[in-house]
This record gives sequence, C-alpha cells and structure tokens, in this order.
Amino acid sequence: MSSTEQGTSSAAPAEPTTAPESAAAPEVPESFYYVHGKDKVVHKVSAGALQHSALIHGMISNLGYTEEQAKANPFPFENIDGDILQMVVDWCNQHKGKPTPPEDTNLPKQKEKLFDLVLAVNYLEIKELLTYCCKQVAMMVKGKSPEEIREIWMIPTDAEDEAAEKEAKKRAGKEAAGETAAAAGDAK
Amino acid sequence: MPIPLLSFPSDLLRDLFKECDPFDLYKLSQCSKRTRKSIMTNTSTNNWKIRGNDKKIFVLCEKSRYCFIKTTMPNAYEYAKQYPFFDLCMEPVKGMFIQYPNGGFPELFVHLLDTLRIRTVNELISPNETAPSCSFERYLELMRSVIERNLDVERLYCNTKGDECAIATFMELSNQINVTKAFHCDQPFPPGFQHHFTRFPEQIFLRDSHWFQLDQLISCSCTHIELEESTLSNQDIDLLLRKWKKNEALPNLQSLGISTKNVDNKSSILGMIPPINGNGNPRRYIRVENADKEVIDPVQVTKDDGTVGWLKVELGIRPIIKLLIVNSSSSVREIIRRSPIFESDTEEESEDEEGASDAS
Repeated sequence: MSSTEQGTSSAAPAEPTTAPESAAAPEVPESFYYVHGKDKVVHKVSAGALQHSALIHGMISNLGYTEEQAKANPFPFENIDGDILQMVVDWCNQHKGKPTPPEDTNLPKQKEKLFDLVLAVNYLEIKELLTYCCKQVAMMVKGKSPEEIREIWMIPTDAEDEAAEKEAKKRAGKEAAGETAAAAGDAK
Repeated sequence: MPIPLLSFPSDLLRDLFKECDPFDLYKLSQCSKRTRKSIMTNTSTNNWKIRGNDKKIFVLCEKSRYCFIKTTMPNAYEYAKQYPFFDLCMEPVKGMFIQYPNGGFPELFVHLLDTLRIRTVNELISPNETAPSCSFERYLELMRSVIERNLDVERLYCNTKGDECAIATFMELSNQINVTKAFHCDQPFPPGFQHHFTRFPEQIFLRDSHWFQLDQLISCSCTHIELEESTLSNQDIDLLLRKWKKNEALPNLQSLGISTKNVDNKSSILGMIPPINGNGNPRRYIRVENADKEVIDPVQVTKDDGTVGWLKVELGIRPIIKLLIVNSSSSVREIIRRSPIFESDTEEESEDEEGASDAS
C-alpha cells in the first residue's frame, strides 16, 4: 500500500513517502511517478503499478519525464477525491505486474464510495478494475424489484422525469426571454 | 448508498449493462422510459436468442437460459434454483415470474427483443391448441415485427389450423424472414395453392407439400428435406435424382424424405423399378446421427463426384422415398447385421450389434 503526505500544491509537492516494495527487489531500479487528487495529497506510485491506467500510462509515455521532473510535476486529478484516488493507487500497487483474477477480493468494499470509485476508475481507464466495479454495481440490484432498483440507482419515475423536463423548458424559456430583454435594453 | 445511475457517462453505462443479465435489464427497463431508452442506447447487440409462448419466454445466453414465467400474482419474484431441462439441455436455467403486459405474449416478446437488443429468434411457433400464445392474427403481427427488425429466425414453425387467407399471409411473410435452420409447416394447404420460396433454411418440413413441385425441389438448397402429401411421380423423382447425381440439383442434401401417392411400380427410378431396397444379407442400417435420420436396407447410389447416397423406395398406400447422403459433414453409421433388425432381442443379435462399423 502506498503511503501519502499532504502536499501544498501540485507544482511543489511535499516529499511523499514511498510505497512499500514487493518482497523480491527488482534488479533494475524502478521509476516512480506522482499523482494527487482533489485534496492535493501526493501519492508516489511505481511505473509498473501505473500501467494499469491507460490514461496515466499514455501521459507517461508522451512526457518522458526523468525521476526529478516527475517528482516536481505530479499528475493532478482534481476531479477525483483524495480517498478515492488512494483506493485506486492501492489497488494498482497490489496488482503491479500481474493480471487481475476474475473475482478480486483485494478490491475496495465500501459501497458508499462505489459511485465515486466507478467514475474515477472510468476516467483513469483502468479496465480490469472498472469491470470489477461494474460487477459490484450490477450486483446491487440482483433479485430486486423495479421499485427497489429505482431507489438503489436513484432512477426518477416517468412522472418525475416529465416534471423535470417541463421545469427545464420553463427555465430555458425564461432565460431566453431575459436575454431578449437584456439585448433590447442594450439596444436602447 | 444509492448510486445515480443515469448520471453515469455513456461509456460507463455500456460497461455496466454488460454486467447485467436479462432479468436485471428487464427490471431496469420497467423503472422508467428513460432507463429503458438508456439500456437500448448503451447496450451493444449480443448473441442472445429468444423464444417463447404464452406461458414462458426464454432468453438464451451463452452459458445460461433465463425464463420469464407468466404469473397473475402481482408480486413477481425470482427463484435461483437451477435445474436441467427435460430436453437434455444441460445449461442452467434461471426463472423469474412476471406479469405479462396487456398485449400479452407478443407485446412482451417485442419488448424483450428491443430492450435486450436481441438479433436472433431461436424459435417462432404459431399458436395452437397446446401453445395458445395468442391469436393467429397476433402471431402474424409478431412475424411482421420480426421482419421490421430484420432479425434472423432459427426455426419457424406453423402448426395452426388457420383459415386459408391467414395461411397465405403466413407463407408470404415467411419469405421475408431469414429463417436459418428450419422451416416446419404442419398446415394443410388448399388445392391450387402456390408458393415459391425465395430462400431456404438448412431444414424444411412440409406436412402438405402438394404445391412444392419439382422445379422448387431441384433448386432447394436445404440439407434436410421432408415432404409429405407430395404429388411427385416416378418420373419426377427419377429426374431429380439424375440431376442430383450430376450435381445439378439439391446441392447441400444430406437427407431427403418424400411421401407421395404418385410413385408406383410402373416406371423406373435410376434404372430400378420400385420398390427399391437392398434386401440382401447382411442388412444395412444407415443413420445420420446429427439429424436423427435413418434408413434400413437401402441401395447404394453414387454421384458422379463419388459421393455415396443410400436410397430406398417403399410402395404401399403411401409410398415413401428416402435418400441419405454420406459426406464429411454428416455422421453416418452403417450397421451390418446378419439377422433381421428389430425382430428379437436375442443374445446372438446383441453380439451382431457389436460388429457395427463406422462408415463416416
């Protein structure tokens, strides 16, 4: 599991602590990169672990950073909560250099975080983790009635959808009228 | 904690729906119109198949079968018990009781076709006394829905005693459907009925085939053909088989069975006067294992390209012509016996059985 340290900015991160190495030390020194989420906490992650993320892997390949440059420029993921990014980094470290089994027991179990986790994993393009997360989300509704599913997945009824649509149209109409009035005022 | 599903981006919804089974997707489609639309937009076409009747609709997936069982109980519930089918199909079956919509079986069938984006109908069976799924008119509507969606139908069955007009419509519609495996029609047709198939599935069975004449049979590309109540004569069969020998007819044939009252012992078929059989010793029992076809004591006929066929013509009240072809794609067993088949179960006969040889 990687440890983290509070950083103050993405441009000048505090010295992060190192993620624990696997039992067998690699012969070639491994390169590390740095990522942070909304909370600016910087996570040091090995290149091997980051290979799980197609997005970050692509960024690394394009940038060709040295160790120092990578340290000075952590990848910012401002749209991902810090604790979610931590989960993702942990998972990537645990699965560094090995394929994910179909039923992965090392994955985060917190249901309350699942929604944010799914979005983050989707954004970071971590295919195997995404598949597992989607399975977890799908499992939430197994054996449930449509009414229960509607609650679990926050699905509005047709009537609610229609009301929301009407409201949106009304609002759009008002905004358009406001803009027309403002434009007329400007013309005067 | 609830998850706002509909705020997921499309690519994520696609991944999520991939993890859902037909029951999940069906129930989700019942949540709201927007959810159903989302499923239809974000689900790629799959290799699921569907079949059903008024009591059950099956969605056949790669590893499981999902059975939507009709109930009048207001609360549908699911049972996870898995059991093998009586038809020896060993895939697990999962069942869910649901209330059919007001439009009954056809409405639910189409709903599932569209929601689950199914492209293949496993079986489309017309309603009859034992499977009163809907009126014949509704069944024709269902056929039209299948045509509109340009779906493949593996097996199309008609065994309804419908009126002549409805049957003519059925046949007309069947020509617009891509039937891939089997067309099976138990329906009697009126005198003078005419129909020309525009394409053929692998198998065809016509209980009343008086209208299926030689020209259609010659161009028939089916592998298995069964025609009853035919009007083909010795001359027709002779011409057909001569053309078949020269590779000018029945290009894919593996088995042919024709029941016709017009075959007699007045003229020859391939130079042989009916009845045609191999009444010698040993007796032969030829069976196409994968098609469940067999012929006992046939004579061997060989095509110009060396393909071997086994022909038998029986006379009687209803003469029968049978032809089985031995080729690389058929599994044919030739059992040579020294004693008559089916006459007794003596130990001696059982020993003969062990001498069975594989001709394939």
